[in-house]
Amino acid sequence: MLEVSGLTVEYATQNGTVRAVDDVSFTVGRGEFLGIVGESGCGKSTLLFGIAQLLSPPARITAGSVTFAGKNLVAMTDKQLAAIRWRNLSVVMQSAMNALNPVKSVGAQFADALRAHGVSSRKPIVARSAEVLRMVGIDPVHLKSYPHQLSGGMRQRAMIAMALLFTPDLVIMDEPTSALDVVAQRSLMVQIKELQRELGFAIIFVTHDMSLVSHFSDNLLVMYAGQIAEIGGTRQIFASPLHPYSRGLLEAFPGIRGPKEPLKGIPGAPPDLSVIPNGCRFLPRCPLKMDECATTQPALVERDGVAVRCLLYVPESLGAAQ
Amino acid sequence: MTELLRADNLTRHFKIGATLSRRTLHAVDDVSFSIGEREIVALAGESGSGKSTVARLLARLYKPTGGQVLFEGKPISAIRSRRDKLRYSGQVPMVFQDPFSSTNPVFRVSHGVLRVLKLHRPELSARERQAEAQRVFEVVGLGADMLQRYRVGFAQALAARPKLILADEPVSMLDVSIRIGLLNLMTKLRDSEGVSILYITHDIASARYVADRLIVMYAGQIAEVGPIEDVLAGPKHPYTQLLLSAVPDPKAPPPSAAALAAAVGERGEPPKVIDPVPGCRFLPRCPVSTDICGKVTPELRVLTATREIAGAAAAAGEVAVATDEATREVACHVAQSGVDVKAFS
Repeated sequence: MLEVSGLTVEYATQNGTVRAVDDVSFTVGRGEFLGIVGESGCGKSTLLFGIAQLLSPPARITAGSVTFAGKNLVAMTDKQLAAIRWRNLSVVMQSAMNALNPVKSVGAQFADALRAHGVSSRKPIVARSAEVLRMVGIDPVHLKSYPHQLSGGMRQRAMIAMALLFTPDLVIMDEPTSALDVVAQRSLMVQIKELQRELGFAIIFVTHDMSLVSHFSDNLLVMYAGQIAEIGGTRQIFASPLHPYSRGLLEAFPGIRGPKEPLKGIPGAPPDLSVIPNGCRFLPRCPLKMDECATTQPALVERDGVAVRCLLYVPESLGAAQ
Repeated sequence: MTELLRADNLTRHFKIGATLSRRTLHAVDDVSFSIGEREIVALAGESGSGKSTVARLLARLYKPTGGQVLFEGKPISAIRSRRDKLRYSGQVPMVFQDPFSSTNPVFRVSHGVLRVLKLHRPELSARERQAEAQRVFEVVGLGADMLQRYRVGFAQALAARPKLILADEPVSMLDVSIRIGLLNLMTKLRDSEGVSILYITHDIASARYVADRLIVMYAGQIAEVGPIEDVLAGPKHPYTQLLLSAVPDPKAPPPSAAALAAAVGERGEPPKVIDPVPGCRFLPRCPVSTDICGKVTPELRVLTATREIAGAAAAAGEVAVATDEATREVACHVAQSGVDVKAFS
């Protein structure tokens, strides 16, 4: 349903262009839940914005296409995009605190979105607004509430309700749970999953908290320095992460059950994207580096249904490493 | 372990609503706990449970409505003179949540630290201040890499030779890999500088790696206190059980459909405690409540001597936190009546 191919986003800065998203390709099927994880600065939010065509200068798409329901979004005009937004594709932004208009009631904001897409009479507007609010577990009386009257969790759910006004085919979520505590977080995740099962929309879910998506996403995309480090089935990646970076991310996450293991973490920091190295971008932080990593840029290789960008899994170097 | 700070029946209410409104928000209600020397205590709870208010009370940013805080045996309400206030704020500094808004962007990082040194340690000469700032930067691992802004708060706190650092969600905005650096820093401060830390967080998994004891707050009250490994291994309060069950665990198998259905049901929000009536505040969300829960507010009581648990853990080959007078305390009628509470798993 959604096909991103070779998407490249560059930021123009004083010191030349910075390639924040570099040749990213993946597909999202109908009703699929794709999790995108990575550290801050790895380009995951830029990727989302690139998909939703919400980039503003100095960022711009320099290559690649985003095909949604057979149409290339990159080539569309703003007017054409406006017709698709909310109706077929909606975006839930990172902080609902800022995404909702503080001087308008929740109902008025819902009505705005509905009117923009041609629902003009009052009755269906109220009915649909109440219906989506009920779907996310908020009492419809809150249509009259202003954002500040709702708790953080409710605001976040109201945003999701708004995204569902037209029963879109794809909902893009950028860390929707980052402001919530664990109990509210899980209840929201479960609810999103429930709604997805009922309504059948696909989700792209961006987060830096890998464990959050472990039980909810079908597929997982691990991003590092603007590139796909690893992409494949979530359970498979969690069970046996291939890329040293995925492995590090996973080990960096402390558990509360079982024996206490010393935390390993990943030494160093994400690289500066304005200087593209010759070899692997993860090299300075990699515990498994080999000689050719400094000179050869790894390509994505397929291995047991998972694509991974690491020279360890290129057949000839595998032999050399062993 | 010697006691460094103790809060006795600490209470803080806020008036809310219009001028004539009589409604009060009970942000912190009758909270008692202690922090020992060289001890990291984690304070966990949902947003709105009063954990930040507790830190602000300890930092003297708020005056308590009731109860008192004893620091090294002396009530902090007795601090009056400017000198004493300065001394206390140097000994009990606070590190705030957001490193981006809690440091002044127009000054160099060293400015903050030098200023603290000038204020709190006037006996140092300018050259000694420079040297001390250098030492502090080395301790927190703040070298040439000034990207690590999150360590600045700790550097400033450390400059005044603190005894207790109040760290209000210092890692909540950080990536996992950076987070670990900060967790290690906190352990290092305890072990090498002998500092106690009150580590406020909603991330229990990270607390496990630094804290000796865990205090779980719910709706302005303490639900459960105990050595952190013991609490994680066997939470007694239904809320603690809910909290722990909600922590995502990538290593565990995916939850069953029934467990997920139950999770949808717990949509309940942490209550805003406005003019509360007696009774347990977790009651509306509690699956194991009894009649008494709606009538009497449960008090925090000792449940089991830690030594027994520690002994059992040692026998099982696990590491137990050995603190002498630490005990498991729970504020739950059902758990206190001897029932083994299993509300959420």
